[in-house]
Amino acid sequence: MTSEMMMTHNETAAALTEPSGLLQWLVLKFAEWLEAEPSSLDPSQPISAYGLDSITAVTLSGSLEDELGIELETALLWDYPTLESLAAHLAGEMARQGTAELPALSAT
Amino acid sequence: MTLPQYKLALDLEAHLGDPFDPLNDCSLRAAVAWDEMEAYPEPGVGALNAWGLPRCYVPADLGGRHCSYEELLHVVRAIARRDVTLAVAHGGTYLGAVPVWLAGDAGQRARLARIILEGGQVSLALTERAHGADLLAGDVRVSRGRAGYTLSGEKWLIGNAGRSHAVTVLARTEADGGARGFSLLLLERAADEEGRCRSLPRVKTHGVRGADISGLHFDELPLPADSFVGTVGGGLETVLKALQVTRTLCAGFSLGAADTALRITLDFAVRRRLYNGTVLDIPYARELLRDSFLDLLICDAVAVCGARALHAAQGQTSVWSAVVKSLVPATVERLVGRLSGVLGARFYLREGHGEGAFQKILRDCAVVGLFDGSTAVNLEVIALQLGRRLRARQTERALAAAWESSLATFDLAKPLPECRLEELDMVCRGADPVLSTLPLVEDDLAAACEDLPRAESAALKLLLAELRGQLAALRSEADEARGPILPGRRPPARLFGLAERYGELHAAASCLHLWLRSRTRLDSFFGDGVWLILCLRRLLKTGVPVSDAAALPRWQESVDAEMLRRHAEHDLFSLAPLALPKQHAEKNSYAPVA
Repeated sequence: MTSEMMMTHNETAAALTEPSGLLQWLVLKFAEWLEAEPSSLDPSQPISAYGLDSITAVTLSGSLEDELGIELETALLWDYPTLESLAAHLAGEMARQGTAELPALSAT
Repeated sequence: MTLPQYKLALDLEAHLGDPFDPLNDCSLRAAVAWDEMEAYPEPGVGALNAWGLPRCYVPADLGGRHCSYEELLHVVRAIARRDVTLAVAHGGTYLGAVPVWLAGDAGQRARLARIILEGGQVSLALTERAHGADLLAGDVRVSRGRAGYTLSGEKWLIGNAGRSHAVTVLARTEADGGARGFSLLLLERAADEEGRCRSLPRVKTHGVRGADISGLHFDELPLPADSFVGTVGGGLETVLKALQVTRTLCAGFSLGAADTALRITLDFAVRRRLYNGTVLDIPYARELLRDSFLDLLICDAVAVCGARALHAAQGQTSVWSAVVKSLVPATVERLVGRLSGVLGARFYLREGHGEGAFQKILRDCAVVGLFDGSTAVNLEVIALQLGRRLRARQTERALAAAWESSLATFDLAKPLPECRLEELDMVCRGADPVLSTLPLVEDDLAAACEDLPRAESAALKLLLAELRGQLAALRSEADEARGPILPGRRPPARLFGLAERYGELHAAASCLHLWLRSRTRLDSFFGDGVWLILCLRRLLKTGVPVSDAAALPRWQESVDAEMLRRHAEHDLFSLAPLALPKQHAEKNSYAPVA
């Protein structure tokens, strides 16, 4: 890998761990899980407003852990109930745990 | 030869004496008499307190007795084989205490420890008349008034509500509710000088008729500042973790009930003469008895391993405890129902054979599948995590951790590490120590089989292959069943069937792991693995071909002989054939029931 390529790679990764990049990823991910149109999810509304119950939310924190490859609190979605607050928290966690990449979303 | 984890229960057994001796406080005769009167089993509670059971409920650092959940499970079984009502009534205190051990501060822990060590009782108040298992719909709420916080509303179907000295209550602290909208409170009844916490009239029940089950009504009960257990908003999380402990221990109620039901039925089957023989000579009756013994061994393996997992596989017990709670009580209900067919008309009588206790057991054991999360609630816990639990691809690190947990859980001679309650988790992470480790035991099984006759060895290898095949089939069915998360809906019905199947495969793998790791730790019946072959055949619902046609009848005879030996010699019907007391209790503190 050339140094130029590494630079590009790091820059892309940095952009994705910005809360805004992460938020976009989360909206798409939750839209996939909830089989909803991404545009129908308001990131400032609690996810429970879309009918996601508390216990399912707990299991989704495990799925997020798998997707992102970092360790997360089980009660994550209880403590950060909107996608906005979740994105801000996850950006910090990903930086702290040294993960810079977001996994690809499956084609829908 | 007796492993140390059985000593506590054996000590209690000796203290209580033979339940078939009507002169003992904790005899079947007494259990039936108190049930007939629908009276709280005071003499039994007195006998358990005299032995020191409350100390087993309290952590060692607070003056309690240091004991593992495995030891406690055997203790619960010892009580329940005499009287499920007594076991439920006394055990309710532990149910109310675990959330405080888990999340309480030093002052709350010390207060509660004192109450329990003085013989006081504790209730856990979770459910409400209008909402049942839907805990987040609860209406009991904390309000902020001029004089501080108060509690209002009504909890319903609460064990020991009429006599408890302390109550742990799940209450709404946010008007909008939600997962962070509920908190746990520890209330001391003595502090309620104005009578603002009122017990409701006792509820009439189908079984456990002597238990004190009612409700609590709170009418602006003032809450002292130190009432909140753990963080405000942390109530649901604490409850979901504490239930993992109590759901596992609940299996002890079912195991004890099943042991006595089988014993009473065998008492009849070996003596009753008809058609020129005994009931035992009737092939169908013998098969029903054998199936019951095998089911009891399966339940024992699942429960014991679940209890050990609370120490040795922390982080895995949200699903593990749900398997114990959904599989053991339901299996025992079917088992006792099956035995009623062998006992015939006597199962229906409230007197006579076996003190008329069988009908009581049949009613009592049905309550275990209801409380601490019903069978359906626990199947849902499994269903929601099924996809992740069954995932085929695992990192090496996750597999290595699962393997370590598996070795520590299934070797009965391995001392258990301390259970750190605060490390229990609401979902499982990483790989499943029970099922994902199956590919790793092939070599161990081959080595263990070298000590076995050819037919046994061949059967076990085929059964492991069958188990792995059924696991793969379940995995693909679960993948297909996994649809989107439907807003506001519960998981699809077919996931419950798959969750049940997961439980059965978990049970099969538990039996196999337990035998592989512990086959030299118990007696030769355990070690020779014939029970394992027959239990796996039951769980996998398969007539896996037996290479030697004579083997199957030989195995069945060997299991029958052991069942009859246990019955004749008063040994427990469990994987560890503990010798039960045949004598009068060491000390009866109360006059026997006439």
